[in-house]
Amino acid sequence: MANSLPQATAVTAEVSRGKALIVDDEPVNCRLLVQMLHREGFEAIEAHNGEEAIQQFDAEQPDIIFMDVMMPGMDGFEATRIIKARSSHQFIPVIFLTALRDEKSLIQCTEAGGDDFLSKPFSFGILKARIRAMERVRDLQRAIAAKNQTLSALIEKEQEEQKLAERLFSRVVNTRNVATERYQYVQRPAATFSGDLVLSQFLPDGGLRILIADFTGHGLAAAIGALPVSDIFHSMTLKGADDNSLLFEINRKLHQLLPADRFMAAWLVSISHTGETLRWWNGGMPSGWLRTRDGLVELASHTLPLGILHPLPECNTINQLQVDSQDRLLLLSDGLLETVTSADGQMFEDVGFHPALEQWENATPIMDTLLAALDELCCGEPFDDITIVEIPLDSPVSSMPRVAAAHIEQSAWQWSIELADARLAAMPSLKDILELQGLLYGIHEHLGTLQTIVTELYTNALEHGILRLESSIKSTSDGFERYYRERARRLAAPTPGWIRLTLSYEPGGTEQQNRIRIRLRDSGSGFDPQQHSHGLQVDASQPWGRGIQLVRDLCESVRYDHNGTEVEALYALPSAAQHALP
Amino acid sequence: MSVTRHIDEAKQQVTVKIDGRFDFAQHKAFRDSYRDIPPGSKSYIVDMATTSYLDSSALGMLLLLREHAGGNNAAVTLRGCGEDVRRVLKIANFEKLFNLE
Repeated sequence: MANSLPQATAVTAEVSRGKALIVDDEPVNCRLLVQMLHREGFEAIEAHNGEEAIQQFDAEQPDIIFMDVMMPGMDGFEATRIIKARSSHQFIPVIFLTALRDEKSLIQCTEAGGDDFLSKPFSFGILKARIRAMERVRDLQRAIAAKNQTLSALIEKEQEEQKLAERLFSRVVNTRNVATERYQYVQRPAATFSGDLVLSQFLPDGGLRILIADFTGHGLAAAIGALPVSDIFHSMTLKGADDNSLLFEINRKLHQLLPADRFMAAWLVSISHTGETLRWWNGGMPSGWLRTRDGLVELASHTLPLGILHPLPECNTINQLQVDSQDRLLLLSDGLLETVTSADGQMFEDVGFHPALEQWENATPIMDTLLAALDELCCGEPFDDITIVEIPLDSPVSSMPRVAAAHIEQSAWQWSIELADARLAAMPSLKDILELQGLLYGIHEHLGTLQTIVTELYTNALEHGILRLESSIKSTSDGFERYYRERARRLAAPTPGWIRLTLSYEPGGTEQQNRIRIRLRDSGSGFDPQQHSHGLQVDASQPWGRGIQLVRDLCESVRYDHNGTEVEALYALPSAAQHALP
Repeated sequence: MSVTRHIDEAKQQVTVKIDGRFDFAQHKAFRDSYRDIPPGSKSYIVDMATTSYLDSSALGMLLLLREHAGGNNAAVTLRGCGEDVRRVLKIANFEKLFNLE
């Protein structure tokens, strides 16, 4: 000990250990302590009573204070109280050095805010050890304070980002929703920014589609996928994409975008424009409930959430139900069911949700009952995001977009495609093409008929115009086979050529019917359409020659031109009152 | 709340046992239970007999294990799931991705 002391002194003296304030009315005590502290590497300043101590504290901002208790004027207890009150934001150790030895006085030292005490006389060795201990506490406190500062800055930044995301979310995602008056929806996010998503958009035929999604986690991280999902949902729905195509695309995007442990459970519901058909798909969400006249129908999760496997497994079927105008549909995220009740920690699903469900009467809303039960049983901020959506299926959804639809119905369009050479064998599907372009509006119900017309005309152009096959070969059953064998052979080594198909939608205004004009041209050398249609008489037993006749039956007019290389058929869309197909 | 693992070298099989709540708090422990094993080299059993609760982040962690074990070729078995755990797995249709015992 004796020989290690000078060494330690030498080392520590090089680095300043800070400023020490010595408060003592006895000059000798002061001097001794000052000498010792100097050797220990402290800069030392003195005060001789409480008032002076406070002045020095304010002026010099010491790092450690040695305080006598009994002094003329303000005593050490009072001075310490004032100093501690003024230094609440940082830790400045106060060590009492006192001649008092009774227990009561020593306790008073701590009560006044002192951090330690030593009774006089004391050894410098003990004091040095106490100083070291105080420095450790002080350093720890400083480190924590620095970390706290960093942490508060981060929290503030995080809150700013949450606000930004929330703003973006409400502008980009929520404002694009339509028909929000058609369904009731309540969201209670666990964080500022919910991982739950509710989207709604009209289909071109007037149907309403709603997507309810729950991303893994919550807050900003959970919502990363919300923007692309919203974009895909709205644009594809407006274009009339079917449920499967939409799910395929959202799934593809999320699979590409999200890391392996992130995914999106979702509900997709499409209500037909007549309000009679409900199509639903549930990937990983809690069961939805349909209240009908005959009771409750559970719509359970039947497939994986989106973003896990690409492509979606085959079992991704869309379910379809016929619904009544009195029916109501209830959909929710798991946050509601898993909320824990305040009283006994049971899940809301068991004590609140199912009782409410059991009392749910036909043709009445359930939302208020559910919320009342939730507020009664569970208070405080939810642990997970809660989303509840209730959709009454009471009025035809189609009444909503009628104004806009009227404009769409009265706007013309023309669409055309040219297929050549090896592509000729693949007859395009009108549904696939027109749906993607959003052109099916108003002609949805005629799609089958239009497809028949186009297929027949196309087949004629291909087989007779380009492949130059003679229909009459088909007159015997043997020939029928030979015809198709020959067709396959000629297609396999395709004759160079092209077929151009043009569809025009011609609105009739208020006076006339709307019409679809179908035009086909081919690069063949022509054929005699008379030979292929035999006027109006078709022998029912004859296995060929029906094509053009069928087209004539369906259309207002069919006209061949340019030696049979060009055909134009005009199809009138019956007015709404006469929707039945021929 | 703990994650323990046992490797059966003869069967080339890793058993990861999860005790208590399986949620984001287990993230590190769960990941550490398999990350030193070369990807796609062994089959896995996640023993959830004493798992009391499973949340969606745990579902995500299972997907990460599945990816580590070889993605669509992975052999990951979820063993001993109680009613509550099974309910969550069923809603997510995870029986399509994992062997549920």
